[in-house]
Amino acid sequence: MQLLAVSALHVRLPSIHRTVHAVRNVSWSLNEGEILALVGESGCGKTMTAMAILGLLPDSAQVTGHCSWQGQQRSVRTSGTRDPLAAEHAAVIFQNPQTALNPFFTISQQMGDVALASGRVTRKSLPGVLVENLARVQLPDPSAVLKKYPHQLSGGQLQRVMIAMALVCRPQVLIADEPTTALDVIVQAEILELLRTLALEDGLAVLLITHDLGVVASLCDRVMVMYAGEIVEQGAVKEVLRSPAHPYTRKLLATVPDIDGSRTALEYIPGRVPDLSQPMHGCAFKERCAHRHGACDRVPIERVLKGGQSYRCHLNDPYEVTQP
Amino acid sequence: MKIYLIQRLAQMLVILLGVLMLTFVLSRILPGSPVEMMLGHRPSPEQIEAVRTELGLDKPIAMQFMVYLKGLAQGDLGTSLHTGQPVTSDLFNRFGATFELTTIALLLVVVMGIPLGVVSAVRQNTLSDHLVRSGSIAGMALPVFLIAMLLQMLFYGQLGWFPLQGRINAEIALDYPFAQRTGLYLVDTLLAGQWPAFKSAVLHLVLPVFTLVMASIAVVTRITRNTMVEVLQQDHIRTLQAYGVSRRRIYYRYALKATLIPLLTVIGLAYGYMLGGSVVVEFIFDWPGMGGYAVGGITRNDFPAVMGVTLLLAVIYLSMNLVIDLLYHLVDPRLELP
Repeated sequence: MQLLAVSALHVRLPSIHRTVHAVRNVSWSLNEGEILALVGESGCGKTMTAMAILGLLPDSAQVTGHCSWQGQQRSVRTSGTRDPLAAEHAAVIFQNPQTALNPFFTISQQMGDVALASGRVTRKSLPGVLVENLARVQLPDPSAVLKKYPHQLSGGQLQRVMIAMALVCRPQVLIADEPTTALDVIVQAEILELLRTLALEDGLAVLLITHDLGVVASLCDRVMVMYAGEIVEQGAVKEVLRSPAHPYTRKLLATVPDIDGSRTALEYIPGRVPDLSQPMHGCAFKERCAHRHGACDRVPIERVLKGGQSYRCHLNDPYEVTQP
Repeated sequence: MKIYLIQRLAQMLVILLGVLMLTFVLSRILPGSPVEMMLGHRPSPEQIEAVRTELGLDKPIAMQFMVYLKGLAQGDLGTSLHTGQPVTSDLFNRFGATFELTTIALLLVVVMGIPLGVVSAVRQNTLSDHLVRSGSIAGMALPVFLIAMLLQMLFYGQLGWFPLQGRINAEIALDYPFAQRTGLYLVDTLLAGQWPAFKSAVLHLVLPVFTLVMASIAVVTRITRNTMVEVLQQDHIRTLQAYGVSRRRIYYRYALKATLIPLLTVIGLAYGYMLGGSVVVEFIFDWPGMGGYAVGGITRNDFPAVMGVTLLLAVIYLSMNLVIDLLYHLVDPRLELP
C-alpha cells in the first residue's frame, strides 16, 4: 500500500544575492514496509527533500509541490511551520544522536515531552509507553535508561533512544537522515538491523538518506539517486546497483573501492557539481558526462525500463554504451 | 561534596587573609594618618606621640596586624575612629541598606533581563530585538550619576511620584516606629506591621533600584540573547521542533537551561559589581549604605572602618562565587562533584 507520494517538489533558498535551487522537480513514493534509500553526494538536496515534506526547513525557504499521505492530498507548506498531517504520519531521526538530544534533560523528560506533543499518549499512560518503546528498540533495562542524561549513554544507545522517540509517535513513515554516519561500524550494523526489523515486522516505511552504497545494497528495497537537486535514477536496489542506467549512477558505483580489486588509484568523477544558483540548461550532469552529445542541452525526459527502473538521460539504450 | 566544600572554604580563608594583609599594609604605608585628622590644627609632637601609642601605631606593622587578627578571631573589627562605634555595629547598620538595595536590583535584573534576552533572541532582527538591544546598551553607556539625576528630575522634580533621597520618610518613621531586627526596612516594617512605614520604604527604593537596574541589565540581556541565539541553532532544538513540542516550552524550558551556565557567571559578576559600585548611587540618593561609609573611611584614614568594609565585601564576593559554582553543578548534569 502506498503511504506517501511526493510530486513536483521544488525547494528554493533565496538569499540577498542569489537564489539556490536546492531541489528541482522531484517526485517519488513510499510503500508500507518498504525501505527506500535516497543516495547522492553531499549538498545534492537529499536532506532538503526530506525536511521539506515535514515542513522543517527554515522560514526563508520557498517550497512548492504536493504530498499525499495515504491518499490525503496536500500542498507542501512554504513556511517553516511543521505540517500537522506530515507529523501525524511521519517521524524523523537525525545524523548525530550525540547532539540530537539536549544534554541538560533526562531521556524521560525529552521523550515524555515529545510523546505528549504527538497527542497520541496521555499523561497517565506515559511511563508505560516510554518503557515499552525503549524495549522495542532492544535497549536493555529501559526504566534505567529513562533516568539517564544523554552523556551517560553511548552513541548507539542514543540512536536507539531516538528511534524509540520516533516510535512513540506511532508513525507509518520513518525518515532517517544518515542515521549511522556518526556511529562505528558494528553499532551501525545493529541500528540498520533494527530498522529492518521494524520495517518487516511492523510494516514501518523507512526513507533512508545515506551516501553509503554498501548500506543501500544490504538493507534497502528501492533506491533513488539524486544529483544536483534532481532524482536522476530510481528503481529496485538489485536492478539499479547491478545495471545502472544513468551515467552518474554508473560513475558513483565505480567510485566504491572493490575489496578484491587491484590496488589502483581510486575512481572519481571529474569536474564539479554545477552551481545550483545558476539557471540549468538541459541535463545537470552533462558537464561531467563521458557520453555528452548535442541532445544533452535539452532537458532529458524520464525513461522507464522493464522492472520499473527509471532514469533521466538522453541515452536511448543505456547498455549500448560500453562501461568506461 | 563535603571534601569539596571544605577545600573551597579553606581556599576562601587563604584569599581573605591575603586581602586583609594587602589592605592593612597599604593603609599603613601610604602617606596620611588618622592621627592628624583626630587632633585637628597644629598638634604638639607630644600629643601626636600619645595618640599613636594609644592607637598602637608605634608598634611594627607585623605586630599591629597580629593584634588586628587576634581581635578579628574574637569577632572584633576594632572601633571606627570617626564614628567612635565598633566597626561591626556600624557595618551591620549600613550593610542592611546596601544589601536591600542591591539584592532587589539584582532580582529585577534577572527577572526582567532574562525574558527580554529571550524575546530578543527568538525574534532576532525584528523591531523588538532592536529596541531591547539599543535600550539596554543605552543604560550601560550612560554614566550612573546621569541616569540617577535624570530619574530624580523626572520622577521627583516633574512628576513628584517618588521621594528625592533617603531610605524612609523621617516623620513617618517617627509616627510608625519599627525595631531594626534585620536591617532590611522592607522586612522590619512588615514584621512590625507598620504599613505606612513599609509604603514609604518601598517608595524610597524605587529610584535608586531603577538606576542600578538600568546600569547593569544590559549584561544579562545581551548574554541571554547571544547564548540563546546559538543554542536555538543546535540539533537538540531541531529535534524538539521536528516533533512539534510547543515553541514556548522549547524556548523557556529546553533552550533557557542550556543558556544558564554563562548566565550564572554574569549574574555573579553583576552582583559583585553592584555591591562595590553602588557607591555613586548611594551618594546621589543619600542612601545610608556601605558605599558612603567606605568613602568616609578612606578620606578620613579611618583604618578600622576601611578594613571592615574590605573584609565584608571580600567575604560576600567569595561566597557569591562559591554559590555560583555550586549552582553550575545543579544545572549541568555533565559536571560531577569532585
